[in-house]
Amino acid sequence: MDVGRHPNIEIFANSEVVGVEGEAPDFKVKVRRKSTFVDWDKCTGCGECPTVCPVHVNDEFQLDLSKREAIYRRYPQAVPNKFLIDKKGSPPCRYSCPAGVNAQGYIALISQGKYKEALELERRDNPFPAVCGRVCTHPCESDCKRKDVDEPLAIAQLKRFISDREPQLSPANPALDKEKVAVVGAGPAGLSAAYFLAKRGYRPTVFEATDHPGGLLYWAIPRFRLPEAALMRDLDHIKSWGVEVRTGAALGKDFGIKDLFKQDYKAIFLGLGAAKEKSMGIDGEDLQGVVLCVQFLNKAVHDPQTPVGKRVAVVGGGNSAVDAVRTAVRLGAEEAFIVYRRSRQEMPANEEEIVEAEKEGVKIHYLTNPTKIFGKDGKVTGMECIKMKLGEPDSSGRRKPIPIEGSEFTMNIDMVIMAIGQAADVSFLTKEENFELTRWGTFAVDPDTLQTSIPGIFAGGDAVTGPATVIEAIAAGKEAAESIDRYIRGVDPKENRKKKDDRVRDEDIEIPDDIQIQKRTAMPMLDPEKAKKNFEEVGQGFSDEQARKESNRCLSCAGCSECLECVKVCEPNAIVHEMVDEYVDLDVGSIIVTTGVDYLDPTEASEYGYKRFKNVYTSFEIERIMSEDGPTAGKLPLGKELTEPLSFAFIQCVGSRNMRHDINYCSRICCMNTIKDSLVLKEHYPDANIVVFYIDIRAFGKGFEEFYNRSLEKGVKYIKGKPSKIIEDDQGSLVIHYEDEDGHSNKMLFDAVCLSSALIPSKGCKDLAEVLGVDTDEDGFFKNTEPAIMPLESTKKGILVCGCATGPKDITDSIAEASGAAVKAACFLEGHELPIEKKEIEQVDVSGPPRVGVFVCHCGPNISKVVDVKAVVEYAKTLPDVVFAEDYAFACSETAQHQIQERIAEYKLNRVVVAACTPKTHEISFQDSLTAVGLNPYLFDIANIRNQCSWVHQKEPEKATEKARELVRMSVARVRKLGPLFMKELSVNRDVAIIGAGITGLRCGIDLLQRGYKVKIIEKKEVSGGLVRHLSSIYPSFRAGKDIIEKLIKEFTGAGGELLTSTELVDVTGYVGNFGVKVKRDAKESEFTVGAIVLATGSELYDPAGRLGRDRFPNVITNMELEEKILSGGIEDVKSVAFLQCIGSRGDGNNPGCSRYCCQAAIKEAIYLKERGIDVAILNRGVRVYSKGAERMYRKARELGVLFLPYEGEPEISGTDKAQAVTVPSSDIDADITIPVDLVVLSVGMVPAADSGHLSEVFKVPRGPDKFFLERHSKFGPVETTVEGVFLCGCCQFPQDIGDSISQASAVASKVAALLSRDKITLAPITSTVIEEYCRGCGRCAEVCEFHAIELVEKEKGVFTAKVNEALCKGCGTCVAACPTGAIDLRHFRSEQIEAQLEALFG
Amino acid sequence: MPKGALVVGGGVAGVQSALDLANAGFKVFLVERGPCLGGRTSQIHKIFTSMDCTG
Repeated sequence: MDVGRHPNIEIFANSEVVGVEGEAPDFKVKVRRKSTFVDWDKCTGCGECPTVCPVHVNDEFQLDLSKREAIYRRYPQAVPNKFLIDKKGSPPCRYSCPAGVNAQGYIALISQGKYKEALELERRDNPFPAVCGRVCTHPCESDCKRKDVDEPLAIAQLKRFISDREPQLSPANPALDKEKVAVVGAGPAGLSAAYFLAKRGYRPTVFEATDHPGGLLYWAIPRFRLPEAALMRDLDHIKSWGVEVRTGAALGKDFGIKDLFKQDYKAIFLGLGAAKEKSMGIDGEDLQGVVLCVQFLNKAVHDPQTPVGKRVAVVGGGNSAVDAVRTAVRLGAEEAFIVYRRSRQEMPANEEEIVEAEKEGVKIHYLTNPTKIFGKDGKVTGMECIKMKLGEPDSSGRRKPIPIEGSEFTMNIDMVIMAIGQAADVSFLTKEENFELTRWGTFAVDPDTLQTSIPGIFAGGDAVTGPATVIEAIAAGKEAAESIDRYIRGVDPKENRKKKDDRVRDEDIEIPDDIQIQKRTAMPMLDPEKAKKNFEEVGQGFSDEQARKESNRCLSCAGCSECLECVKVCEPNAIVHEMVDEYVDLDVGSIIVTTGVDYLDPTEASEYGYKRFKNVYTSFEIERIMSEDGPTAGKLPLGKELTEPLSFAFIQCVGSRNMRHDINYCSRICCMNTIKDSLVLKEHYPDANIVVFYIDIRAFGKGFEEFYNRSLEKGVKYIKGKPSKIIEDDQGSLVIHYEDEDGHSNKMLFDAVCLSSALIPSKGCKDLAEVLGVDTDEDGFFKNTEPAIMPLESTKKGILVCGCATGPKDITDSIAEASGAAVKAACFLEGHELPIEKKEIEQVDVSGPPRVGVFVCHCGPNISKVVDVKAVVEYAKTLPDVVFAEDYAFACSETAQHQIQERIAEYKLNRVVVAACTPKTHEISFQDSLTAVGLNPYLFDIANIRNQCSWVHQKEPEKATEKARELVRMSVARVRKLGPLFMKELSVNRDVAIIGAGITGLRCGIDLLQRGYKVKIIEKKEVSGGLVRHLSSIYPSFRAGKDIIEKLIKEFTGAGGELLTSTELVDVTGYVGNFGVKVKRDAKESEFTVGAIVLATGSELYDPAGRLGRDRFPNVITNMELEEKILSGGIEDVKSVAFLQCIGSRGDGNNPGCSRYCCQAAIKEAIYLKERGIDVAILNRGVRVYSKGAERMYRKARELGVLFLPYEGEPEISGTDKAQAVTVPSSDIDADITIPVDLVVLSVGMVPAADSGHLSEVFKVPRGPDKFFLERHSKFGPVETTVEGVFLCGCCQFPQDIGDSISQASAVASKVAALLSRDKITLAPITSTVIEEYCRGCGRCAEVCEFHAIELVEKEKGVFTAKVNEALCKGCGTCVAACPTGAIDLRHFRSEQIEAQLEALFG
Repeated sequence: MPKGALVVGGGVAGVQSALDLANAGFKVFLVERGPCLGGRTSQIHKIFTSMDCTG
């Protein structure tokens, strides 16, 4: 069963362990489930949401080489198969907007041409898009991240674009049925409050003192900036929500606060604005020709004939001042200018307005302030001003202007417009109600809720803040609506009201490296010369094309833009944009850490030009690129046409084994990975010239050496040496500079280069170690107690570490370690086995005629977009024996499965067909549904109308529908012929036999004893302990092998294990759960039964007899003999030692593979000898040290002066009565090397044990071409065999070092424990069955059965018949195909069942 | 919730540990930082030496 469906496994994806307390076996763990923003209980993985998502972000699954949508699943087969959204926070534009308007969202929608949706989204937060698109001070643009690239987006213009472009849609029948709310003041604050209240269903009435709603928008903003039509669009839309506006109703004059409450208004919002205009208080303000700005604009906005002076001075620097001066120009002033006391930089008016004013001929006198206005005959004739300079910043943050004494001057003018600001004046209200006011005369309100000192009365906008911006007023209205809603509902007004500090962090914003500089799109404007003569709108707005172009400049800072398009298309309503993180507390007995690795970013190795040069890749990128489902569908994205065969280089050890990167270890997988990639490249580009630059090729695993040889045969070239740099030439080719084997500088040209970058501890490893309270090692990986002996134990009891969490390793080794860790973790869970639940369900009687139910799935749009599902349903109803048919959006969903169960009962169905996806995905869950209502699960069939129909025939919907009909017809025909099948159960013997008492067998035995199983170890030798017993010491603890073995034996026997030494295995019979084992000791045979058998028979050492002076010289010894010499003392007189590596390995002595242990063993011994003053040379064919800590040991040996000399060919040992010199052909230089020695050590390889052939026959466990036992799967089943119940570990499978053998031993214990944890083993009922009357006993079926499930039995003398052992049969059907007489049938796939299907198809 | 084992990391190793423990009858909580299981292996194109796909 797969991990996603296992009832015992609860998956917390997108989650982190944030706290661990307690000790084994009582840990309390806190897990943070990060928000996915999709309810995974509802998500069906249909894939509809990303089709509407407008945001594209880097796809981390494709290593950022392509884009994905903001709502995504990592890949189509992901487990759990659910979608999620990554949110990084609030985008800067939205965060900086007082009203939180989702600019990134509507911009994303504009980029897709979804203008209507964009406008809808805008209006969720702002009812004034037409207004704000024109007059907003747009803080969003000030914070737009695009400014770091070139210029900020024209966000306001885009907003204007959608409001102009789209017809103003009214909501459908706003149903307002909640309480009445009074809003006083129809400015932006009041109208916004009313709008947001109406949207919540309240009935707002807006009371407006003047005769027109809109406040200053209507009364004071000139039409050339905000045409009345635009304003009216927003106002009409607000009204369309049911907002009632009563004009000519002034508070304090026409009605009072109390009146409102009396009229049953439940709450009041006061949006009174700041109507009182300020003047400077200088001499001459009472002269005719001195006017206040808003009063001037009030008149001028509505009357183009408003009188204006000839020379007009406007005092102030805000938007009103600019509006006034441009209005004066339009009214006919000969000269109109601005007098402003600060500089341009401090001027609060919008930059684009100032620019337009200047184009219209307006001058601005900066750093100038009026001091006196003078006149003649009561009329203005001039103004005295003083020059200013800027001092320190004041409370507004702007530099304070200071008058420059004596700089006074006068200007001749006939009109002054004072535009220096307004103030709120709400004091008139205090007569009626006791409002608390601020010292500025504004309402004192709660800053979070905007409630005034009187409950139920709220205030916002300029009457609270003093003169501020439109968008701030809108924000206040929106907040007030929220408060009023809470007030009326009686909900806590304060909860979650503070603005969240969630601006997306700058470092999280993706700015592509290759981003194109593209300036902000300029909006077309009226020609200033023409514009200044009338009141037409100056800005002409974006065209579609301009808007799309501008919107495409958006960087999508926050990832998901919350445009909510996904919500609209999600049929199961699974998307929850408001989701928050959850925390879960777990009780656990033990913890396994398998946090894996990351890749070193080779940008750090800058000499190779990664990221600078287009065609320099990392090995992991090549992995994705070469994938058919990768970013380029399996092709190298070279960006140029190849005129000659592809030339491609791999550079090994980028980062690994490199002190510059502080990486003092081998990454262990890169050599093999490169060899694999080179072969894959050869498949795609057969003529490719592939070169691998390497230091050592470390092909040390099972089959690795052969794999390496295959690449050599395919023409992959290997060059020893590390390139110094890569340079890109003018044609885009990559020039690799390297030193060749003779030490000469050389260069070579390539189209592309792959860097094999190092594996490094995964991000967060240190933090997790801290949370868990365990140590990390000097390389940053999780530390294990002792790499060789206790590789899986962390530094804390009950916490296990495995896989790449402790250091790089391949899948095989990781999988073995993972299983090993599992058995150790299980030891802390004693007594917590989950009860096996068995419910008795009344079985449906299926003896009667078939009654078929057909259930057709839409699979969201997956099927229904192409296939006419309803037509298939109707068709199914016409088929024989079909009594019911219907369709579901998702047949696999829990709801649909329940309905199917109900239909089974309702219509007395006894056969079920589901027309949906592949049986691989959901067959089991449908079968479970049948079982749950008592219908035999084998009376079921799936018609695959998705993968085999709608997906592959997308362009031919009619034919696809026809095919779906046919598939259903076939399924119905088959299901009518199906009969019930029943699981068989076998009882299980819970004892275990282990063959071999080496370190592996002993470890496995101890682990099983600890899990409560009885274990016998059968050892043919008198002394147990295998090869390890003879080791003087093991790396890196330098403990003696004998001590380790003795301790393990004590532990094993102490825990009740039976150690049968001098015992031979005679025979094994039976099958999983019930093996009969016959053994012999001292000629006495005995027999016992076990449920599982473990092969831990180890290997033997290659015997170099007759070679290399072995027979001639006493001082030519094997490395094992050296171990004994070290132990017994025999090296005292030795002065110089040469190790000869690879004797009996890697093709030498007929052993194809690398023996894996010998390099590390030789270095360990060399260090021992060197430290005793002995000269040591290690003659090698590449140094293969890869285990944890081994690279450090290798470095130490070199530092101590151990010589490492590469050689090729057969070494020659010379001497008279003793070996005195070793001569080897060097692989580095073109000459032989001779080393004088007085001891030669042959590092002999590991070869399969002599009796492995016999054992292979006894256990029916096959051997590979190298004659080691063959595992079930080289990666995913390294310790299982093809014989169920028989496992293998350690060197009988392939040479291992001690640490890996130990991990495999524990892994086997885990597998055995899982197998024997149940009292019974259930056998799947789909097995072969022999029709004896047809069987001629030819035995072909037995020959082809790879599971040895068929044997010939003699039913009477000389007459044989095949017999299937159902315990061994896997239901593969091979025997059926092989039988010449049709005497074998496969249950559930019987001939008549398949024939019925075919007949239904062809008729 | 019953007492079980915690597996941190949902790559091949984590999944294997979880399956072994679950198959032996224990409750397993499998915590994965990313949105789905499979880890690095799911991104690998083909695996040496069998050249199988990882999907």
